[in-house]
Amino acid sequence: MSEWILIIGGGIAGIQAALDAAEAGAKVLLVEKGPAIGGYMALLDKTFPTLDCSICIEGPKIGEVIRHPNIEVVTLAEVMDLKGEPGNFTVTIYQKPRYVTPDCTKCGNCSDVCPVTVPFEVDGGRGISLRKAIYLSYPQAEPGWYMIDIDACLNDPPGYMPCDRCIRVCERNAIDFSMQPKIIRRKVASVIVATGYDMVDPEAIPRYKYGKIPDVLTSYEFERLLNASGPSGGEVLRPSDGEHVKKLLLVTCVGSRDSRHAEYCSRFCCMYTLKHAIQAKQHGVEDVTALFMDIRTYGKGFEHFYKRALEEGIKIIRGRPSEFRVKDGKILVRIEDTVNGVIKEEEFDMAVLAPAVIPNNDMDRLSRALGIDLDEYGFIKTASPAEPISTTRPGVYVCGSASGPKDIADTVQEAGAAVVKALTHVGKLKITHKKFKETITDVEVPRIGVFVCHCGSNIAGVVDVKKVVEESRKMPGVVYAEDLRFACSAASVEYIAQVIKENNLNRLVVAACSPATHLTVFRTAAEMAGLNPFLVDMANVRNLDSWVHMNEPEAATEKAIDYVRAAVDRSPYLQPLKVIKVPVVKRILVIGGGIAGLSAAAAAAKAGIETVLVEKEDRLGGILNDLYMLAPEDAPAKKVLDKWVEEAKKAGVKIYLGTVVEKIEGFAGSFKVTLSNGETLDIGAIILATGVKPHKPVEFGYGNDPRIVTLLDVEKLRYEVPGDNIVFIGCVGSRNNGRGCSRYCCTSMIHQAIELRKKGKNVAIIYKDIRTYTKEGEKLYKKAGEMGVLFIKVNNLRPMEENVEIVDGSVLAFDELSGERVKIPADAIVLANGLEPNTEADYILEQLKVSKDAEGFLMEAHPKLGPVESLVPGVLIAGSAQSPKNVDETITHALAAASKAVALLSKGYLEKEPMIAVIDQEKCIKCGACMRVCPYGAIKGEVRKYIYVIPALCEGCGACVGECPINAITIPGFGDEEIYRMIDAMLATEGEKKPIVFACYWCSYAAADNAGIFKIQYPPSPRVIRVPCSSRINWRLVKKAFLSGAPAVAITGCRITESGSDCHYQYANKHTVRRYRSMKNIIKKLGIREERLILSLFGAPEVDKYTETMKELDRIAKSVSKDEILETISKLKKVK
Amino acid sequence: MVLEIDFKVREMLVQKAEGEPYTCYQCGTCTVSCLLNPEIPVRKVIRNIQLGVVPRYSEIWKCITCNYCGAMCPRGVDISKILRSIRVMLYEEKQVPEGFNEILWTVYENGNPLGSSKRERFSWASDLEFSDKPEVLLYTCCLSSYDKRLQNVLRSLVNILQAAGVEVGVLGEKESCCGDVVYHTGEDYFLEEIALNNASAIEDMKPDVVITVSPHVYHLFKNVYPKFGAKLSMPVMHHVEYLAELLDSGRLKTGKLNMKVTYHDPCYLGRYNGVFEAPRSLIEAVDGIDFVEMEHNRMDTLCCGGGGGGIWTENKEARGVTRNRLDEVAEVEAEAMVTACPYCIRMFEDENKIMGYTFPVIDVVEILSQSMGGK
Repeated sequence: MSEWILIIGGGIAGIQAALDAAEAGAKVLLVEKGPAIGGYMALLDKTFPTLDCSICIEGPKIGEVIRHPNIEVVTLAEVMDLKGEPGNFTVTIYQKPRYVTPDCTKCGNCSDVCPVTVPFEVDGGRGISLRKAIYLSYPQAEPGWYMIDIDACLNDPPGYMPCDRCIRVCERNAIDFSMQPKIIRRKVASVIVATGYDMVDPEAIPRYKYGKIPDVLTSYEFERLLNASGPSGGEVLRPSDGEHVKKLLLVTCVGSRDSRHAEYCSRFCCMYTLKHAIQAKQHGVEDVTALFMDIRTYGKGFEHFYKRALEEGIKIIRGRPSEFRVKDGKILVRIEDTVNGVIKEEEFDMAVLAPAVIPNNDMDRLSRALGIDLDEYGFIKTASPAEPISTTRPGVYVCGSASGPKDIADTVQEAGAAVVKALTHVGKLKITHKKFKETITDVEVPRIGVFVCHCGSNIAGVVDVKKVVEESRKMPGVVYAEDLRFACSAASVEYIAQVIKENNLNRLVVAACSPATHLTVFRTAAEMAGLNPFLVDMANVRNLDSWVHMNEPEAATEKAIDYVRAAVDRSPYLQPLKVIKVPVVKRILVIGGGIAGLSAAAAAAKAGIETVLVEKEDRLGGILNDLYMLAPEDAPAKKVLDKWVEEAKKAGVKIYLGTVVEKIEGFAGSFKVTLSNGETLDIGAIILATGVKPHKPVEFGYGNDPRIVTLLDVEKLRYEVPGDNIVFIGCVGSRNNGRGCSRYCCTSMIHQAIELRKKGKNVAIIYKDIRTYTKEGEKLYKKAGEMGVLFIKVNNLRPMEENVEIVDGSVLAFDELSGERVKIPADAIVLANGLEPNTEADYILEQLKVSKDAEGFLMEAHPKLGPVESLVPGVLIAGSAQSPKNVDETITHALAAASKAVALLSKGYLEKEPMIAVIDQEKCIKCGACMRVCPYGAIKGEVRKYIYVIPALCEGCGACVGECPINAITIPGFGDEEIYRMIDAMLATEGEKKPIVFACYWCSYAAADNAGIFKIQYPPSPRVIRVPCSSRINWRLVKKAFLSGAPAVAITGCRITESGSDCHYQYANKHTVRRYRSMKNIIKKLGIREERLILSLFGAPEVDKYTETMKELDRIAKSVSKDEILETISKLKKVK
Repeated sequence: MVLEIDFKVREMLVQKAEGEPYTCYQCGTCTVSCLLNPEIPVRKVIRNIQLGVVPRYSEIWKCITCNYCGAMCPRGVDISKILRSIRVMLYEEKQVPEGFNEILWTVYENGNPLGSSKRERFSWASDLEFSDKPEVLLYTCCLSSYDKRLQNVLRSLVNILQAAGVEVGVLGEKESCCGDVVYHTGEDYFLEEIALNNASAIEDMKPDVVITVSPHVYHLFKNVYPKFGAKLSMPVMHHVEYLAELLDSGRLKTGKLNMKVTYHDPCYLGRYNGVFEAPRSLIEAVDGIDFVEMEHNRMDTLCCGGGGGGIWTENKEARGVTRNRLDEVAEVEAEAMVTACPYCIRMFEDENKIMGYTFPVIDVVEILSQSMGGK
């Protein structure tokens, strides 16, 4: 059996699948047809409903994929053929030539001289922005080198080569027109198709005049317009005249739910349209109208987002637009508000269309190459409702929008689910690590080597590299300094290794580009020489210096020297560390034996990890035991249940019935669990599949009148409902009292309505919005209408009890679509009861410290990218316990949880970066401040008695270091002492002119890097110090900066957002904000000018905010006199 | 006021509209798509039926039955069927606006809605010769037969057919009104009588094929007569379809005409019956023609405002519809507006006299005829 899994498509689906599979120990071949991975998500501005910055949360994952030892990425490649059987497929891949080699440094000189300009497809391809024939698809693109669009290029290699401009300016000789297409043949065990989607071209729907009226945009183009890296730098401007948009129209269902284009619902347009509406308001658009058919905010937290849009004053109308016309440069549209029948004609400055999601244009060809079937719409056909991620060919799985539209959260779940299936065919799971023998062991006395990179002319064209080398030689501890034309080239890396060995260097500082992209390269050089890789540091003299101070060579040179000096002075504090390996118990505990627990347990066991399932009832299956047929596929519930029970048993899951978990202690990899039968189990990972409770209606006198039943009752009755006239009432216990949509009920209700209609009954459905968001669901909705089910639309903000009244054998409701109060005869009334959190397992949650969300469902690590992880490492969530789901979705979610658990345990140990908190027990006064701020609960103990760090839980943010009142805790490389040395090094010459900037690694430092990529020029005075998280910063560091004579200090980090923040350490940056406020108080009391300390929070793409901060600092610095600085120092010296 | 839902009434009303109202999900696209000003509240009308209420909206009678709303409907509801079913219901309730009843009487007495003499129906053909056992039976349409301007279309058509060696016949005195206006009044009993009479007259002649110059006749023969037990046994074609076949088989030879033209799809030929390419192929077969499309074409075509009985009644709301289409012709700077429907020609020509555009409105047949040196 092969060890490889082939993943086709490098969007978020493929990325997530690749990481899950590789972490579990499979080898991954990730094939992407474009030049870079990242997919649509890399180009989106913000994600709903949290308004997280999209690339900020996807970027780290992209980086992980690129660096993962088990993942091989092949770009510009297409799968041509798949032969063989699961476990032993042979895949044939065609790879187009890129014409640029990995020697490319992204300097951009080639693009500057390229004479060919074409519309940039990344911004929609309509000429909103342009690119050259040689280009990079987006600034953070990985694999990170340029490519030539050979169709646009003037050359037609090899025969016709009239242009060599790019070749002439490329200092690395990275352009190679002799590249040929390649055919790659490989053995793979299984395949995951993650090829994503396309969108319908709105020109196919002439009434919207897309392509004719320049101010009619697609939602994707609008997303780019909102993006700081987009064509308008984040401003909402009209393409026609560049004017700011005051009045905006957003239109959903452009081709979706439309029998002529896409009959199904595209699932995520309602949400992003609400998001666009809110964002537009935030960008200064005064008047925003959004048109919907039904508001389909069915996901977790989505309902609140809808309410929020209403609160922000967005006009949300149930109605469709007329044909667009142009009048005096405005878009003229007639709209009927269908809930009150008012028809208005209005003028808009811009209209944004939400086009239907359609199959990827390559789907036909690919399905033939893979030998899999497509559904009637051209998406990949999935095998059955019980197997939502299996295709029609064994061993080939699908995730994300390749099988139909899906949002990111649903896609990520499917990716995990597909992996746990794909793993079952893989031979041997193991992670390959590079061999490294540590031969340089004498590291006490620093022997520092400095290399300064020219990066062609990127650095050397601005910075006087020779002078930097000369100055480096004078720095303490430096025994070797040299400049290199390209430090990162394979030859240079070997050369550096040789120099380390020959000169017995024990510290390495490379002054070049960004550590974010290149630290691993120079760590490799150290490893080759036998030097511990954690003894390597970089000075970013390109992105943070030469690229952004192009016209100030002297200042840039001085800054480069400061940065090198800071790195050199810090380097003695670097320690030879080892990646931490924490042993784990290879056993999974699944709590709950419903369909979620069963499918999770079966999948985990099948993937080779011993699995135990505990169910409190005497039988397996949970709610499924009470269901008759599953909507929308009309599959017998029993069949689906039996299948999974059998699978679980076959896979060897150990099942405890009538048993509950009593006590759980320990942490990821090593839990101790006590069961109610007295047994104790050693467990590595826990899957919480504790399910939901169907809402038992207190509404409409349920329970007092036998004629009033619930959907669940109808299932139990096997659809034998007495009477001729049946009325369904939707949203009973959902979309009310702070509770969101229960997701399953619309489809289930319609399915039952059809079954009753088939029996000749008169059926009416009273609803707020019809949310049949699945492909089959929407078809069912149409069918129900055609069969004569009467749909009555009532107010969607009021509770159902206020909308509907039951009076002697009939139901009264106000039908918004006719404006009539209608009376419907009813022999039976069916309440579509929602799903509620199950509180029976609360005691387990408390023991595990797993949190709940506002509705009482289990809180996931991240609503988009961590839907099955809880905030507690080693504890996963499966199924509706996280939020209401239908059966297919539950199974998918559960399989994803199983996938994560398997990945966590399959290696036999957890691996961690050694950058974790270390307590100096002698200094420590056991005050417990660190315990309180740790976002991971990694610091344990008892106040005034003992405090200790659990290395397995620590993620290295440094919030504790920042909080410690007496400097008794540190993170290697980021302790107070080394940061003091860096501050002093940076302020060594003319320090009174140099503001100090503390930057978090994930957002603000990334923004600084991006400012370099965009070559945005700003004043050279500020000096940037990188830290893991802004929560590491405290008064001691700020005070030190002022004491050393800094004119100003800035603390920068990730943004705080509506529902948390972009922070990569579970909102640790809330401590930054808190501390900043108290620091402000301190300097105010001391009589230090307050504006000299600033806080600036921004995302990685918000380059403008970063450069504004730099300009602001420069302005403040210029306003501070030497005397003021001396005064400040003396004031601070008086403080303890 | 409470509206009591009666499932039986609802089912009956929906079935009268051939089930279409059930498919509607009330998005409202139809209402805002209506070409009339003020628009017909189509969505509300359908909602009435869905709730089992007869939609007594007088606006229904202003409808020009262009079915543009139907073409825009995302659920593919054939709205024309719903709107006509309402006219039938309202006719049964005797809620017919002024004018319609008079026209019915005129049709009853004269065999045409113009009130012209039956004997003069074929005056335009007095110098032409027809076959008794024709390959092709030409069914003329009342408006074309009596309107001096439109008679040229008939004459040109006969000339072209005969030049191509086709044996052409006409019903002569046996030809009577096709019943289009009766159809739109909702008087289905009268329509049935007309349909049966016309069908039997046509069957008696045993032509290989019936061709019509009017898309309205074409639609009735093809899609409506069969519902009244009057399905014709031979194929029914619009003249552009028949001529396009002649062109393909090489029997029809077109000439040369240097002119920039555009084509207006008549609702009943295009949107209702899907005949889009035949007229275009004929126009483009003429040497020297510079053919341009208007913004709205094929399924999205606009309307002359003459359908649904509109041409026979004073329908002020439809006037904007006619004018919008003429503006589109002017926008593409065509030297002639070509179409294939007598109603269209009549409506556009009349309005054009007021608007003052210089381009003529002509039938596809006339383009062919002119290219061959005729009128």
